Amino acid sequence: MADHDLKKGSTELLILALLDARPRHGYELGKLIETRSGGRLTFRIGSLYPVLVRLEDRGLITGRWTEKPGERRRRFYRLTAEGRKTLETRRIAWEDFADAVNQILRSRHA
Amino acid sequence: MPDWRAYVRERLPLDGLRPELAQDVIDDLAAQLDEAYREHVARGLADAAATAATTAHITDWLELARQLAASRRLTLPVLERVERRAADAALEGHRLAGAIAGLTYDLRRLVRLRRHGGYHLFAITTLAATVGVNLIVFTIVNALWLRPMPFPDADRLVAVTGMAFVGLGSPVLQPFEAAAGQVMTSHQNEGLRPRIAFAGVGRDIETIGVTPEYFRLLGLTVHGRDFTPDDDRVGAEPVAIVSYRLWSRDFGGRSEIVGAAVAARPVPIRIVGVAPPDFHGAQRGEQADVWIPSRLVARVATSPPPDGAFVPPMQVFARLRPGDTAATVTQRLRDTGADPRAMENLALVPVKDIFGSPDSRTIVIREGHAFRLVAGLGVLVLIGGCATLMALVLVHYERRRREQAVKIALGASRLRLARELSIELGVLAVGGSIGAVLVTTWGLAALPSLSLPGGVDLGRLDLSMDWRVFAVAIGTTVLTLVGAAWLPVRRFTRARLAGELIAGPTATASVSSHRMRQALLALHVSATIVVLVTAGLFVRAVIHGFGGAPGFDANRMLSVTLRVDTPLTGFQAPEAWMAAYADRTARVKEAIRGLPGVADVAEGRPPIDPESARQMLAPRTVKTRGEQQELIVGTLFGSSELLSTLGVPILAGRGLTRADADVVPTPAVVTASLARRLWPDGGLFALGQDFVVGTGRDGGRYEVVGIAGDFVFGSLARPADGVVVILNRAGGNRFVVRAASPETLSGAIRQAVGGVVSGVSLIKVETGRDIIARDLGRQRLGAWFFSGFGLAALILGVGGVFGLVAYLAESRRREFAVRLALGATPRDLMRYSLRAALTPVSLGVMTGLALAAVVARLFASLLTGLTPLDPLTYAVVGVTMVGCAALAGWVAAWPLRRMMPSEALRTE
Repeated sequence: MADHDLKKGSTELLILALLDARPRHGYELGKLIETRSGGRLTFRIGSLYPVLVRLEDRGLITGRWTEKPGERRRRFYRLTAEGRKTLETRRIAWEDFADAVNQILRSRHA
Repeated sequence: MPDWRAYVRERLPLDGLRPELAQDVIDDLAAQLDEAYREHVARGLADAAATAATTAHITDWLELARQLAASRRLTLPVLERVERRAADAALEGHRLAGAIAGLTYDLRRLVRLRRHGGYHLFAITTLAATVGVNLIVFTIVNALWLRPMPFPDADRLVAVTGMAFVGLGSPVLQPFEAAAGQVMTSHQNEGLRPRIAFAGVGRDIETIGVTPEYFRLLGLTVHGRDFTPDDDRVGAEPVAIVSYRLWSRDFGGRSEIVGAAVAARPVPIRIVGVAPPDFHGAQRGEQADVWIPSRLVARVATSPPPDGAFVPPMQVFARLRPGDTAATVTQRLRDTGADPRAMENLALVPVKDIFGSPDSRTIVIREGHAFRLVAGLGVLVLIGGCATLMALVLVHYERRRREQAVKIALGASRLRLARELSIELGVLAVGGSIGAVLVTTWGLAALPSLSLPGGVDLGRLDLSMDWRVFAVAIGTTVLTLVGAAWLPVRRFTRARLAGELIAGPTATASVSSHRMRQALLALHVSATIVVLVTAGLFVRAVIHGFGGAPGFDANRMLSVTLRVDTPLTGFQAPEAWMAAYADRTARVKEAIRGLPGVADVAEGRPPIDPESARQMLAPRTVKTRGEQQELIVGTLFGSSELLSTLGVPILAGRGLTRADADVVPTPAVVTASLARRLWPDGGLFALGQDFVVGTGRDGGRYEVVGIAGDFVFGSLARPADGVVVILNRAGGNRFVVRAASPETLSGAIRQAVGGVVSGVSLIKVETGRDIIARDLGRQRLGAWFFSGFGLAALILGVGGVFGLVAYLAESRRREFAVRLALGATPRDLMRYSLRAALTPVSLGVMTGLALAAVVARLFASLLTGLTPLDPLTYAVVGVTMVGCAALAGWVAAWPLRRMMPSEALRTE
């Protein structure tokens, strides 16, 4: 399992990245993180939900209740324009950061 | 399967979250838990195991609640949280909690008002302008007419005016209980102004010379001792009574000062008494700090005549006997058989109706038309402000009509709605009052630079606020607000408003409010027109005053006034004194003439003299050999070069020369119009004719030696019928200078004069245009004042038209859509909307123009060279108003151009 601090620092970026493709409901976001990380990253509803509220407060995502025929009523979250811009910025910053860290780690093993 | 919604609700404490969002949180969390549970079951877990796996998602509910409470979006504002808790506590029976809940509710309403910031700002500005202008007007009225005089029984105190001189022993004063005199120190008698400088008191101290009876006559008790007849002897020890203000501020209120001789210039003075607090003179406008016996004036005056020759001109005050009135005493005096010619102009004026100061002649301020004008102005401003505010409040609540209807439908009581509206109006009242105080403070600070009809110097009036001003401030605010808000509030708190929810926004109530808005618009426009016409007339009068030819070369003229501190003393004979005075005058003339750029200089005053205009322009009897006429004839004294320096041409005969000094009858140059009035053939026929101006001591016989071109004398607003110019044999302290660029000479003249005359304390240098500007002070005040308010009223009126048309276009959308569907064009709809707005505007314009014609008569005397019905002003104002209204309406109706019937009906 990933380190707690690393996970905490990257949760917002993960959520934004998953919402980039299409709107998703809260539980789906948790499941996708778990699946796509190969089970290394897991989030419980109780820890993911406050992050969603925080992102909505800052206007990066917005939630909307949707009720489709044959499905249960669920709240779907989507990226706002502001959220999309933030995602781009953070994605680049994260890649730069990860690249730099990797370079250092690799050079030590070389 | 568990009821996840109930599960979350039981565990998650959501106090302090917005109720509608708290429900969202519960539903969202419940939906996610439900999703997780279903997935566990789908994987084959038993119900208990699936439930356990699901509940493991949230274990620390308090931590989750804490994190949610950090969200500003989810949580209630502090006020609302307090209100809810207080309301809960009130339900449990705590009485104080109920009051706190009510208070926080009201506070929340107040905070929510910022949503309507534009409306409130506009309404507060209108209220502040309306109340502020009324307060300024009332403060002047209060200072001039209403404030009680600072001595008892003021109604029985009169000034005896209209006689050349009334000695205190004169039989004329027999019918009175008591009388006292005050030395006249207006700028006609500039040289008689007492000048006392106490050691250690830096400022100029206003001093009045009085007879010993002065304080007793006024019924005032002096701390220390009053003047005695011995104090008023020639050669007596110089004594003074000082004001409470001077005694307390400059002498520290020390009791040993009273009775002590104090170092002062030009002579040491013994302070024998202190006047009662707040007393600074018998007449409004006086700000005296020192009173001295009248005989002492000769020793401390600026440039008095030699001792012995000095008989100070007196302003006599007298106290009527109980039961007497000014009219009965005047009649009795005329019946006594005293010299009827001397009694001709006699008038007893209540002292409270007099404005007097050392810088201006005594002015009787009991002018009915001035009072009516000022009061009418206040009422006009009030009506205009009320109409504007009423329209604003009405439009504001019109927009919130649906909100009110929903509240009533949901069970809000009328009382509660009225309370909400009262809070809102309270905010307007508080904001408006603060704004009004600012407007008043700034207005009153600017006022002293302007003057009132009659030349009253506002800077000398006591414009402080007393209880009357505060009462009027509160009264005007309440009156304006109640007048403006009563009707809208009544309309929007009535129960049947709820019916509009069913009937929709195009119910009949809208039609009636639309009519009311039209009526208000008409009222506003008519008030605006009156103000604009008034402004226009004053502006035209000012333009005319500056542009019109005064008959002398005002653009190349300078007026120089000296005040000499060192008196000419030590002369035994009046002739010697006069010679010294004339010599000093000649030195000043030479000094000025020697300056580069100066074409000519003469001793004499400029023909236009705003401060003295009233006194200069009294009707006088003019007799020629054939007949006698009552004319307003001005007399201009000066050196022989005066007319040429002023640029006034001699049309026939000759100008004055020094040789005319001792000739009898006095050689005079008269203006052409006076010559025509006195001798019907005028022109050359007038030369050599003699005539008499005035009666009694004032009367004088003159012989016409020359005829000059006409020029304005006294004031542009009310010039004299003609002018008699005669030679001033003595010297003078006033000079007229002719120069190509008069405005550049001020400093050089001060320096040159200061070099040849010692002890000069004041050299006032004014260009001809400055004098005309001062003469037009009332017109300029009117132009500025009414233009400012008229512009604001015009903007509000245009805003009103825009709002009305926009409202019409919006509220009748459904009707318009049907009309379009039936074949009307968008252009027809625009025309229809415009007509709805322009009908009340046209009505208002017509009513306003008629009203303005009536109002303009009140100040007709101030309109230099214009009639109160000046067609250009009325036409420009009318066309401007209609044009602006049409433009605003057209812009507001513009969206109708693209209206599609189907779209409009669908949105309905």
